[in-house]
Amino acid sequence: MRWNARLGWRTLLAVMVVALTWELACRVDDWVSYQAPVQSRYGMNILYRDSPWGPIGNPGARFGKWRINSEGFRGPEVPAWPDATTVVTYGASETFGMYESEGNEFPRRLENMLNASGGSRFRVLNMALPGMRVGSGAAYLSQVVSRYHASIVVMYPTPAHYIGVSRDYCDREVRPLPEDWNKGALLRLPERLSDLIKGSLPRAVMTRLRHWSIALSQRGKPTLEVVDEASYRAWEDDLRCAIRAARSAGAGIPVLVTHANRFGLKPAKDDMYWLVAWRQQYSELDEHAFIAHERRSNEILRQVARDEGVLLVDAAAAMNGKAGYFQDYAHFTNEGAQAMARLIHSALIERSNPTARHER
Amino acid sequence: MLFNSLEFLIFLPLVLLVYYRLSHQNQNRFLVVASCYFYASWDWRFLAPLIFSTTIDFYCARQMERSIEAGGLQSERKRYLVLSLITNLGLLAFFKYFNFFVDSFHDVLAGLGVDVPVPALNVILPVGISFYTFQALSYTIDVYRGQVHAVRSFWDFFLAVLFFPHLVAGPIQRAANLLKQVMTPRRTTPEQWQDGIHLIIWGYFKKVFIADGLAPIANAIFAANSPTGGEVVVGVLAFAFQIYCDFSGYTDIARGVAKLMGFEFMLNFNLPYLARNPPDFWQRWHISLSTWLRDYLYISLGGNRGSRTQTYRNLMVTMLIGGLWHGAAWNYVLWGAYHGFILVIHRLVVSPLRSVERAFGHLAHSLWVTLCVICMFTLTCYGWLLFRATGLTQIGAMTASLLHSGLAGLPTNLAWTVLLFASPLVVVQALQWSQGRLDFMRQKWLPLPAMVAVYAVMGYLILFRGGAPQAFVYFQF
Repeated sequence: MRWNARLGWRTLLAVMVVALTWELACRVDDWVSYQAPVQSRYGMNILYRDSPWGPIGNPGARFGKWRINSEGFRGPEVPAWPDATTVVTYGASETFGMYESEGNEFPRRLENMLNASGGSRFRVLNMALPGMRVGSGAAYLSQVVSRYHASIVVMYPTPAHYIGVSRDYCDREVRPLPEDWNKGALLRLPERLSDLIKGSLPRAVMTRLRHWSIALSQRGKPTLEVVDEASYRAWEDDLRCAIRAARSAGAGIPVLVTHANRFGLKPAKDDMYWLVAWRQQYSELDEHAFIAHERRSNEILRQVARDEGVLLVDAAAAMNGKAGYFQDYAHFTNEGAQAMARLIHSALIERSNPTARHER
Repeated sequence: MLFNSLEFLIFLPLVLLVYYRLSHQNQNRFLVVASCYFYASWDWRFLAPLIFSTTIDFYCARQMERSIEAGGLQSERKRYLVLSLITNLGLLAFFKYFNFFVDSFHDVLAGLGVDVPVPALNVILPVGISFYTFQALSYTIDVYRGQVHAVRSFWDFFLAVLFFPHLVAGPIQRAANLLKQVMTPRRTTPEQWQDGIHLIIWGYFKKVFIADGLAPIANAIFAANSPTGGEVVVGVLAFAFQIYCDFSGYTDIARGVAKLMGFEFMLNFNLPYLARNPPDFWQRWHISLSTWLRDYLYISLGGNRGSRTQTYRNLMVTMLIGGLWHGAAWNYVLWGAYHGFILVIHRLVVSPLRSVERAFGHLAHSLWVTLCVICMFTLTCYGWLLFRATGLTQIGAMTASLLHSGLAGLPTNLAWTVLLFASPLVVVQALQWSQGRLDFMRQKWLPLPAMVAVYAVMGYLILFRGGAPQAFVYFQF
């Protein structure tokens, strides 16, 4: 076969037809699978909207399997039960739910467990959003607790959000989101291709590519071997701030949950793939320092729980190192979400009836 | 290295890149090396029995050829044929059937109340051993019969047996067909390129989208404790389309890859679910195996040259061995026996059936054909129940469910999902059937950009909507 201009044009035309067809197929696929609009922009960011308290859930928005109800929370519509006990779950992507099938994120499982216990009815409002920091969402938490008369607030904050942070988020001024921030992507094919490549490449190759990407983003910047003390101070301040916000809005039972991850005390060889993947989100910190950072952050969280007299659920102690609970470094599988819900449920039951453990 | 793996998608272009730059002899040698690498990627130890049996076959064929040239006695040639048969079937028996026969013997003794400890071999089954054994045997038998000349070049013979597209799951090539192509210089024509690419995309589509998409449904129903009759129907239908798309998808990819290198493999499937009766089915399903069994087993047993009873016996023996070829388990034997039985029954009723067909008249012919196709498809599906079941107990339970509850408890959602996955196949095969040609997809029935768009949609479904990757069903055989 000779390569000539005619063949070149034909190949170019074929590539264009394939790209166009695939983009169209992505849109039709989204429409068939999730009733997503075919014509408009589409992306995870459409789940957010701006508010005086920072980014919050966009009522009625839907992206892929993720739905925000009309009140701005992930999950089904909030039941209008005047006699129900309201539980608010507060956190980031781990609480929002990323990989679990719909209805299996731990707040939803917790609601099912609480209601299956008999007695009073419970409704769980999942106000978490990916990227929500324990400090920056505190003002919104206060609003939600007071609006829905929530008596229990389960906080599952993400320590990694505080890597390289110089001061707490709680007292920072809320900055509005850029105007077109939550409009979604113009094209849908690039992200899908990127996911496909990530999923297909051998782990060793993927780790190398991630290292390369980290090196690019870190060019000229120092890599942290340990997280500095200012970050831990900000983490502690924000934890206390969130507890204050919940209490002042009327939540009698704040619950703090230590952060769990797939790694044991010492990472196994296979864990490097996930550590580097985690580091890609926070490239300034060396991947070997993540486990120490998690440990230290959880120690602080336990101390805050003791100081503030709030209920502590030690998910890290119960779940760390159990790879089956995690789809990646810290996000749950269905099994992991179930285990997390069970831990919180047990702690709440035990608190309401201290003899329950012995009876069980 | 599975065809549906990233490794293969890297391996194939690299092989093609080098292949096109070499002379004919070097192409053959290079393909032998590439095929060895392809096969060793599962387990390098698998190469040992393969190379051993191939070397013996080459030697035996050469000796038979020498004997023919020297006007030697047939008994002398027979000695070498027996050596080849013992080597090939011995390896197959050792790796695939030893534990099966020993376990079965133990079960029989246990049934008689005798508990004798039996040895069990802890050996792994070399991938595709059933396929390359039959292929190599066809060569030595053909040389013995004087239908093919023994090749002089060891590389050429090695390539014919080891050629990676057909090595692990066929089509089982005939020596006469493949050796001729190995020994003559090849040039890939633009038509072969076009056909090859079409077959590869269509093959991947059938495997990754349809078969892997249906696999979870079939697996779930066959793993259920006591499925209802409706669930059994859906599970069997899912498996019927799964196994067809899985195996014919593999064959299409193999044929497509071979075409890219200028080789032509034999057709292995010809709209099998449109067969009208059992013999018609076996002329359309796994054609390379059924013709092998016909030519080297059924005819050797006497075929239909003897009495009726002998013909029926030959049919049953051929199909029983065909069933056992698929796997060392009783349900495969039962599957073979079932097909042998319906072949015999068909022979018994073929004359009355023809009378009924004539009575239907010309106008009602289509109705008669449709009726026959539906009946044969139903019979084939029950055969798949025997094939897919994990044991005789499950076969009994599922059959009882079908007989007692019929379509009761039909899982409507799953049934629709099966139909949804199968619909592209049904549409394409309806077009192939109405056009009377299997290669209609590559005809210019659409403008080029529209044609590219059709393939792009298939590509999208393969890449983004394929089921969780599963090994090809026929690899285990």
